Amino acid sequence: MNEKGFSANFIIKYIKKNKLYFGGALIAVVLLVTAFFTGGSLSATPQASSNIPVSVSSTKDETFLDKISTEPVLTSDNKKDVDKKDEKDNKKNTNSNSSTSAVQNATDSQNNVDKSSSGINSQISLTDNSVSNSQSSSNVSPYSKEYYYQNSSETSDSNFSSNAQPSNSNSSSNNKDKHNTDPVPPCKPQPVEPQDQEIVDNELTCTISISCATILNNLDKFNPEKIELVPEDGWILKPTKVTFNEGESAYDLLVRVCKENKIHMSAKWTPLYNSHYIESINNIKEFDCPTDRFHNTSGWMYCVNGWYPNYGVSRYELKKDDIVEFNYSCVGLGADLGAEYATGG
Amino acid sequence: MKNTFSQMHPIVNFVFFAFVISLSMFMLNPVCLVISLICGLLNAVYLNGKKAVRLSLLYLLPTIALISIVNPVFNHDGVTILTYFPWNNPLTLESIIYGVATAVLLSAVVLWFSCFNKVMTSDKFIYLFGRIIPSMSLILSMALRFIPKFISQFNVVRNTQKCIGRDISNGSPFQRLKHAAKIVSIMITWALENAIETADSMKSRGHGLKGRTAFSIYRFSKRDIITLVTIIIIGTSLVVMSMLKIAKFRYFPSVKGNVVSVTSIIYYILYFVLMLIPLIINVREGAKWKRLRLAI
Repeated sequence: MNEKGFSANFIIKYIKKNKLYFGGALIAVVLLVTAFFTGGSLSATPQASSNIPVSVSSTKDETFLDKISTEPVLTSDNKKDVDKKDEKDNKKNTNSNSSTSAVQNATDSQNNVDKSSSGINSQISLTDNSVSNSQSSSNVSPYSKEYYYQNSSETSDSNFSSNAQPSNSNSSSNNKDKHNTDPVPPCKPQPVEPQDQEIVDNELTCTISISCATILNNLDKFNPEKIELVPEDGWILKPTKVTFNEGESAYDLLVRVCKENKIHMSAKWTPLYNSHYIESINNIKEFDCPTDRFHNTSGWMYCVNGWYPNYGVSRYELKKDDIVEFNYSCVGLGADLGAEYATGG
Repeated sequence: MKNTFSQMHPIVNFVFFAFVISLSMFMLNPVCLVISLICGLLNAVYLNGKKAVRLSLLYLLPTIALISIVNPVFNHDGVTILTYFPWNNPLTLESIIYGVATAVLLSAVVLWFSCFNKVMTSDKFIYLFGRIIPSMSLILSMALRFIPKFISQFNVVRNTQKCIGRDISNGSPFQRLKHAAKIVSIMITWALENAIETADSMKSRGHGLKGRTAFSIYRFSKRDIITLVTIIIIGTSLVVMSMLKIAKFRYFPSVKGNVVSVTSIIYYILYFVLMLIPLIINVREGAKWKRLRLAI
């Protein structure tokens, strides 16, 4: 008891003595913790990812740009208002800081608005989400930057930060979302984070298949211990109709189907991409088919309705009558499967 | 308890351990693993007595248990699915078997290394490699010598500090920390000074000069030749046989291998004989000694 009291007194004295050091250490720890929690959950580029509408460090020019970039959401009726606003802002800007660069910025962004508002027609026609429409509306090329701006502002509930993201960045590398995914091509389903997926008790059907047919072309390079595992026709699971609950991801479906059919499957949770990574199905593992000595790119890929999504399996929310395929790729990250966009390049 | 094998020429000892340790490191055949573990244990008990038993019971058994539990948690390969983990990955029979096999391999190698340390003393090591890689062998033997020296000096310093009431066990936690820091600082100073002193003393005695020889009383007798030749013949034939995949065994995707066949049984016998060589020599020498004493 006595000793305890003594030691407590001693600690207090010691802390008082070295107030400065302890204070510094405390501040450092607090800073690190905040940095961990804010930086850990968001992406590496702090400006693009900050949830605060206007980042603290941004100058007036930047806030100005932010404002304008949100406006493609407006319909063409509001366009005049937009222009007026722009002029107002422009005047303000020139009044407050009469540097020429600010003016230049303003005019640039105005052009941006004009372009995007001209693309609104195509945007409206695209809301049907059908393939034929997108092909007919070649007014704005679907892979152009403006298109992505519209797409992101439309789908993400006009979230301020996500709008600010493309306008601040000129290089394509900054167009990635917080899980390092490049913009999803038009008319393709956007990723749904596994944390946001709500499973509704509403049974729908879809088709799933698992195939390793590409190995049959590269049997001589395949891991000789595992040749007995490759089926003769390449189908590990032939296309089968299965039911799923609304809101399930492609990964959930794969896990369930593999358990039901007693197919071996192992996956690894990858926080960087907020998704599971499928290591092996039927004991055929990633890197089991080294077609190139120095670039072994063999592994499992998934494909929905003929498209290889550029985001992880856990982030794909299944829709009714989807055709989900899990295919083994031996060459070039899906080059032998006909997947051209999956790597997100 | 005769230890004739340790009294043989260093090259015999070294070649033996090189073959045995490398073979038991690369052979994953379960029969080979068991043979290696048993022979390693027998040798270690013969050389170290109670210490070897303590090592194997206190450290190696828990290690085996730990590895065989941990391996299936991270390794999901294998055809036979037993159950599923809560995180949806399968628990397979093959991964459990592989975990046990690697754990046995690890403990066998540890036991063989404990024998190696007992037999291959630092002067033997320097005798063998002093000419070929002089600085390397010197550093190695000095480093190995440093650890026991450091521990004994640490005890000396700690007792001295205890006398004036500044041990790690005295005072409040903060004071204890202070005392520990003091002792560590003393030890580091001592180690640095000791290293400089050793280097100076060696230099003053002419270390590294040309034409110097090392004193040794190792003779390469007929007995050594016979043992060395047997070790090399058995060892190389084992290496060649394992390169021809005679005792091949695989764990993934399914456990498979020719455990019982004529060639593999020959392999096991050779393996067993190689690993028993030191014990055979020691026991034979002991029996000879007994017979000679009876003759008197």
